[in-house]
Amino acid sequence: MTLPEWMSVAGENGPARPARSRHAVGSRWVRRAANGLAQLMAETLDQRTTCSLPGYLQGLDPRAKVVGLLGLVVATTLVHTGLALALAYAFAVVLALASGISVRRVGQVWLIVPLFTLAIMLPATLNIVTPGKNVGVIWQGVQGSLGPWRLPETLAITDTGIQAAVRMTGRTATCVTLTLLLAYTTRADRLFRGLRSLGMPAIFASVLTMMDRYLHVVAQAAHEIHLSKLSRTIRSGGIRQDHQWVAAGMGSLFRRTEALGGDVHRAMVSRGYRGDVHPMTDLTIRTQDGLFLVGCVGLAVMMLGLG
Amino acid sequence: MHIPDGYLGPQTYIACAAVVVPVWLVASAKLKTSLRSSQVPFLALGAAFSFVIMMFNIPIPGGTTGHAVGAVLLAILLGPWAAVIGVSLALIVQALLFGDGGVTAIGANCLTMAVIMPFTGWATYRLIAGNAPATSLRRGLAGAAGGYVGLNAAAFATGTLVGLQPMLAHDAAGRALYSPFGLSVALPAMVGEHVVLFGFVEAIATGLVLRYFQRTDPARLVPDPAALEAPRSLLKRLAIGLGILTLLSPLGLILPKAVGAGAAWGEWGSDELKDVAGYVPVELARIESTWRAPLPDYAPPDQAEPPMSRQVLTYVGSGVLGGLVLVGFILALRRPLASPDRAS
Amino acid sequence: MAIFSLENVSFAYAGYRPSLVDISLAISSGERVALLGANGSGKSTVLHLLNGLYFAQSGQVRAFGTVLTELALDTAPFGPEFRRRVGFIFQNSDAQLFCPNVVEELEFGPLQLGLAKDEIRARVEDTLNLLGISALRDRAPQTLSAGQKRLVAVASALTMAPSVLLLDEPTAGLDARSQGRLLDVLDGMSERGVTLVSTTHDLTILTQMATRSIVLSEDHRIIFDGTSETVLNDEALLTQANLMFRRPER
Repeated sequence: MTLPEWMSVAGENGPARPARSRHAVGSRWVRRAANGLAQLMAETLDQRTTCSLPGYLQGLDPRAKVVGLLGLVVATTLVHTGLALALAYAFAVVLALASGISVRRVGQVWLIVPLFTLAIMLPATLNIVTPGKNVGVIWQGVQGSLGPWRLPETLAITDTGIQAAVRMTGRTATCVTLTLLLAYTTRADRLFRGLRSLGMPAIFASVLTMMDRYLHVVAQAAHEIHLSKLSRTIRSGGIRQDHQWVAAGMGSLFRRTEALGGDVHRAMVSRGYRGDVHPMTDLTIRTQDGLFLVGCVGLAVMMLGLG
Repeated sequence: MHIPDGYLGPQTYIACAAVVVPVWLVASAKLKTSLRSSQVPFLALGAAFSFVIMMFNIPIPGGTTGHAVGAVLLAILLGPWAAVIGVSLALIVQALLFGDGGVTAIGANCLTMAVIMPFTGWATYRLIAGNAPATSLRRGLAGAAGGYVGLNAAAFATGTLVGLQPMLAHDAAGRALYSPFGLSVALPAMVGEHVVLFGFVEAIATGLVLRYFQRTDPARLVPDPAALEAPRSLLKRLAIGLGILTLLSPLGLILPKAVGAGAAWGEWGSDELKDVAGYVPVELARIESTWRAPLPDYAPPDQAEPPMSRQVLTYVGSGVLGGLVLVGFILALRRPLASPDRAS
Repeated sequence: MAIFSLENVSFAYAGYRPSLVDISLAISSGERVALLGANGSGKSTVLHLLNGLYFAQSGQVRAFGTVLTELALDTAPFGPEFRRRVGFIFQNSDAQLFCPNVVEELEFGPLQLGLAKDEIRARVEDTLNLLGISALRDRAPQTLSAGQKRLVAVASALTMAPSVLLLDEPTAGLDARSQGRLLDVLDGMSERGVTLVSTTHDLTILTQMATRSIVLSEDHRIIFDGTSETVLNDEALLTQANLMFRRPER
C-alpha cells in the first residue's frame, strides 16, 4: 500500500520545541474538569476502601449510624454556643480516629466547605453587619462616599462579629465532618438499605443504590470525553467552538447514559424483573449499635442543654 | 448554589422539606405509571447523568468558567417530573456522600434546584417554543431562555431562604443565629450574580445541547402529545393558580395588621425607619426621593392611611397589573422568535 | 424437539437500516449452536429476539411452542417461566451487573423467582465455587476486571438454573484462564442437557463452543447452517461473511 506523501514525516526525533505560537493551547479548563471527574472517581473508590477498614464505625449497623450521626448534625444546627459546637467536633474527630480515618484526610477533604463559610463570613465580622464592641478598627472618622454609597464613619471588626464568624464556621465544619464520617464508614448500598429500613420508600432506596453503582461508569465516560478533547486540542478555536464542544460532550454523554439505562433494564427483565423490589438480608441491631446510639443521644442532649 | 448546613434555621429547613416531600411522591407516582418496570434504571441513570453534568466546565468570555445545574435541560429531554427526581437524587448523593450541600439543607436545595428550577424553566421553554418544528431556532432559544429563567428563579429562592434567616431566628439582642445577611444583601447578591453571569452559563448549556439534539436526533424533541398535557390546559391551570394567589395576597396586609406587626424587617421606608431607629440617615432620604412609584406600597397614592378595603383592592390590583405586565412581556417574545416557515 | 424457531423474521431498530432480513431457523433442545458473522450482521439481534427483548416486525419467533409477543411475556405463567428457563449473558457486562456487589447480583434472579432464602444462599455458594470467584463475593462490579465481570455475569444467570443459555460474545476480552473456566462451565452445562446459543467471531475456539454453526452475511441473511467443522474448512464462505481475510503474501 502506497501512502500519500504528506502523511508521514520520518526522523522527527529532536526535542519538541515548535516556534512559539501567539495562541495558547487554551485547554486548561478542560483539564480542570477532567481532573474534577478523576477526583470524583478516586473519592468513590477511596470511600469504598475506608468502608472496609476494621474500624469502630465500620462495624456498626447503618441505621444506628444514620440516626446517631445525622441526629448530631441536626443537634449541631440547633446550638449556638462555642462549647457545644466544640464538643460535637471533638466527638467527630475521636470517631474518625477510632475508625482508621487519618487526621490528614479529615483536614484536607473536609475543610473546604468551612473555609468557604469563613470567607463568606468575613464581611459579617464588620460593624456594619454585626454591631458590637469594636476590637479592630480599620478606619475612623471618615467622611465621604464611594459612588452612590456613603462610607460608614467607622469601619471596624467587632467582637460579636468575630464570634458570629467563628460560630458559623465551626458549625459548618462540624456538620460536614459528621456527614462524611457516615459516608466514609458505610458502604452506599448498606446506607440506603438502612434508610429504607428507617422508612424511606423501597423504590427510592433501589434507585439510589443503582445510581451509586453507575455513578462511576458515567463519570468515567465523561472523563474519557474530556481526555479525547485534550488529546486533540492543538490550540483553542475560540469560545464559540469551545461551547459547541461542551454541548456535544453533554449530548453524547446523555446518549450513552440513556443507552446504558436501556441495556440495564433489559438485563433486569431478562432475569425476571417486573418492577418489584425483593429485600434479602435483614439488618440486626446489636449491643454495640445501641451503645453508640445512646452515646450520640447523650451528647445531643448535653449540647442542647448548653444551648 | 448548594446551601451548606448551618446557614438555615430549623423552621426554614423543616418547612422546605415539608414542601418537597409531597412533590417527590407525586413525581414518583407519575413516573411509575409512565415508566413501569423501567423506572428504577431510568431514574438511576438519569440521576447519575444529572450529577456528572454539573461537573462540566463551561468557559465564559473573560477567561473564567462556570458550571450548569442542567435541571431545565433534563426537564426538556425527559420531562419535568423526571427532572425533579433526577436532580433531587443527585443533590441527595452530593450532600450525603460528598458533603456538597448540607444534609439539613437537602429539602431547601431540592426545592430551589430540583423543583422551582425545572418547572419554571420548562414552563418558559414550552411557552416560548409553542408548536415550533423540532429543528427550529426558536426551540433552541426557548431552551436557552428556559435555562436562564429557571436558574434565576432558583437563585431568587435561595437568596430569599438565606436572606430570611436574620429575621426568623435571632437571639435576644437581635443578632442573627444563622446566616447573618438579610434579604437586602442575600437577595441582590444571589440574584445579581446569576442574572449577570451564571444565568448565561445555564442558558448556553441548555440551548446548545438542545441544538446538538436538533442536529443529530430531532425526533427526541417533539413532545409526545399523549404524554404531555396540551399547552392550552397548562396555561389555563397556570392562570387559575395565579388568580388564586393574587386573590390571597391581601393576607400579607391583613395578618400583620391583626397581630400588630410592623413592616417586614429591612423593608423600611424613611417613615418606618424614623420609628424604628429614631432618625433617618440623610443619604437614605435623598436616594428615596429619586423614584416615585406609581403605586407606592401597593396602596392608592396620595392618601395617608386609606381604609383596609381600598388597600386590599389596590393590593390585588397591583398583583393583576404586575402579572399582566410579565405575561405580556413573555408572550411578546414569541413574535420576534417566530420561525420563518410558520405564522406565529 | 424444537424449542426455538424463527420463521421469516425481519427486524430493524426504529428508524434505522434493517438488522435482520428474512431469517428462518430452528433450535432443538440440548444443541450447542454458534451464530457467526461480522459486526453488524445481526447475530446479537437474533439473540435478543430469542430472549424476547425485542419483537420482530415481520415473521414469528416461537419459544417452547408459544409465539413471543410483549403480551405473552407479560402474562403469567408463561412470562415468568420463560425468564426462569432462559438465561442471557450480555455483551456489555456493565449493563448486566447492576447490583452493588457480587453476592447480591447472584441473588437477584432467584429472589425474583420467589425462592426460599436458604435455597438462594445455597445456590449462590455453589455457583461462586463452581466458577472460582468466591473471593469476589463482596466486591463492587466497578472494581472487577473484564474477565471477572464476565464470570460473575455467567454466575448471575446460572443461579436461576436455566435450561437455555444465550451468550453474546462470551469470550470477547477475556484473559486465557477466565476463558478456559468459562468453556469448562459451558461444557458442564451442555452435558446436563442445557441448550447453548452463542454469538462469536472468534474462530479459534469455535469448535470448543459449538457443534452447529449458523453464519450471517453482512446483508443480514443466513448463508450457512451446518456443522462448525465445515465452516472452518470453507475459506470462500468465511471470506464472503467477512470472518476471514487473506492478505497477499509479502
